[in-house]
Amino acid sequence: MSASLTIAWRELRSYATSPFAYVVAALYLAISGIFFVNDLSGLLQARLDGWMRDAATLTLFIAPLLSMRTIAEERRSGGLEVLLSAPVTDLAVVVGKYLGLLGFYTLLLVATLAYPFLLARWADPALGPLLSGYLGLELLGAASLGLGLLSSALGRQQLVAAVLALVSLLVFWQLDALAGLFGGEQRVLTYLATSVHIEPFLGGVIRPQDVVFYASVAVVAQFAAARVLASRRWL
Amino acid sequence: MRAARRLAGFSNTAAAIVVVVALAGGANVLAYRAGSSAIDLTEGNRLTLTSETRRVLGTVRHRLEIDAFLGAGTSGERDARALLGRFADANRRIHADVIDPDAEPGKARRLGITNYGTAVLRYQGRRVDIAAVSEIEVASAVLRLVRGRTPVACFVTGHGEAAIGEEGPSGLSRLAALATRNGFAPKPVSLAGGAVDPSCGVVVVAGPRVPFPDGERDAVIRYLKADGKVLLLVDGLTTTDVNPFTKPWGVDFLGGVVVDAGSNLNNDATTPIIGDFPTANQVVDGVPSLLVPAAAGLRVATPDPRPGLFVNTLARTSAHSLLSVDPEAADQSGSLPGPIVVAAGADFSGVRGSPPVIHRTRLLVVAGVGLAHNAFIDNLGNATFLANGLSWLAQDELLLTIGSRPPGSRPLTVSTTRRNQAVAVTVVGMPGALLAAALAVFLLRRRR
Repeated sequence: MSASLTIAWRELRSYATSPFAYVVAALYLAISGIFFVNDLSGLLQARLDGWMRDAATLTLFIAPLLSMRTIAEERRSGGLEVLLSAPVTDLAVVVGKYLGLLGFYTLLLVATLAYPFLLARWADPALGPLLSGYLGLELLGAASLGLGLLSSALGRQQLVAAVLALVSLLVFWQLDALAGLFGGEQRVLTYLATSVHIEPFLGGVIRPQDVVFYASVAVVAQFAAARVLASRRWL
Repeated sequence: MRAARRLAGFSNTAAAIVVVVALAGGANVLAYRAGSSAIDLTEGNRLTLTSETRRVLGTVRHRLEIDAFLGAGTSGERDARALLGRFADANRRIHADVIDPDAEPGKARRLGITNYGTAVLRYQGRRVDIAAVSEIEVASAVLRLVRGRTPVACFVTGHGEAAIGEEGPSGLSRLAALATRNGFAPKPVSLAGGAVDPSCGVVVVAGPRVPFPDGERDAVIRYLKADGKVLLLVDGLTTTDVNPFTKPWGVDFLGGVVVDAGSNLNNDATTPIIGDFPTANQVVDGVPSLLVPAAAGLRVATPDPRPGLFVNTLARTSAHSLLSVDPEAADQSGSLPGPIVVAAGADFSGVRGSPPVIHRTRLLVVAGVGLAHNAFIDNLGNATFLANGLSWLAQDELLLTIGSRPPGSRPLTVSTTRRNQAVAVTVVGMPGALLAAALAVFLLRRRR
């Protein structure tokens, strides 16, 4: 675990010295801010669930951008081989990179706390739905970054990894819409849709199945990414 | 050799991933089954189904389908989806779907749906349509479907009783709505024909002011003897003698006005807050307290006057109360000391006839009609008490009182100044600062 934390810290520090990370963060906050201002214009009540719904959709696009470099770029530059030659397991490397990504995403979410603070200056928003909404966004981000990391492990190039991540995230997001096409399996497909699990959080409800769903997507994706890295030994 | 190594590697990887996916799937199944243990952070736990709704949903023994017809992407659609999801979580026999009538016009036409917002519930070949998808509406519809019948709650008219169509503070429109929500069909009835309408499942006599003509009085007495179910709400201001209705069942109406110095509303001793329910009767289940303005008094026969008749004190005032003939008088020496009984229930059952049939009369007497008036019915536990009372009279094992829990209002005014502030901070300031940081980092790296 300490190896993973060391790698995660190294990842976070690399973001701090990367202009690309700042540009991605600026892009995220600019789009997020536009959503907030647009949503604000139609608001009569102090609530942020509308903005959070937009932010959830934005996560589908930001996650591939953040994760595409993690493994694909390191593999291209040869950094990955150096890392894997160190006395750490593949899983520790993947978990470390994942925690670094998640840390960066969390910082982005923390920056958006400016929105509820602004709202609180002007009105009295309910705290409960804000807390559950942010928890939902964090968990959605965790699952999305997991899939992004897996795509980065599968893709040889950053662009391929990003496209793979985007497609898989969009498919998971829209699974409930696709559910109608599959008679008996509707419930399973609907359950697998990432969009379905965010709604209760935005409404102020934290359900065990939603927390476990996002967590299990993140865990399975990391495990699969570690196995993909391990495949270099037998491929 | 290389191919064999690849095959082994691939097999191991596939097997390991399958195991992890299976474990994750198992965790999800367990979490899904624990869906009811959600944490609700909304104000007043607005998004959690009430215990009463859960109790009703627990009685659904067969497949129940709920189809709500709402426009796609609307907030109503999202709310309905979340609400119906909670119903489905509470009982796996409930299958709920939200349908866009524009996207699936065939289904809407097949079910005869012409309005957005309508929901159709189907159970065991029965169907109930509701015009709004709220917890109250859906739970009430489920109750009606499961019960399979809609008892008629007949509100007696013609003696100065408040009307169920009257919306004013002294009207009973909210009591009628409460009855509807709880699966009854309220309707006004006249006793002028000398008999109680045979379609009545429950008869409500709410606040008569003048004496019943002999024929009408006898009609109520006969109805009660013939397995009748009566809710009698009467206060001390009436000139109606209700004892012919109540005495045979072990309850005396004493009249007067309760003066309760110990527990009242805003220091008005004649508006007692009643919190003493010395009974396990289901009528007071979930009732925290009652607000009964201008309550009168009752006396309950003890021991039970005859075999098969059980009389219960349901609610009584505090020990600091008294029953006064004239609350304005300085001398209250003739008053009856508290606690004063203000609600009582009588339940008489016996087996008669050949073949033997169980007969049952139920009478619920409340010495105060004010608690049922529009002005007070939503105070404290009044609505719960009345809904429980109707269900008890109708011999329903189910008890349902679902209050509406609108979200607390948190108004926000977005002026141009505030909007500009938001733009400055969120769209320009924060991203701009990050872009400046990106430039600084870029220049620093180049310099190195």
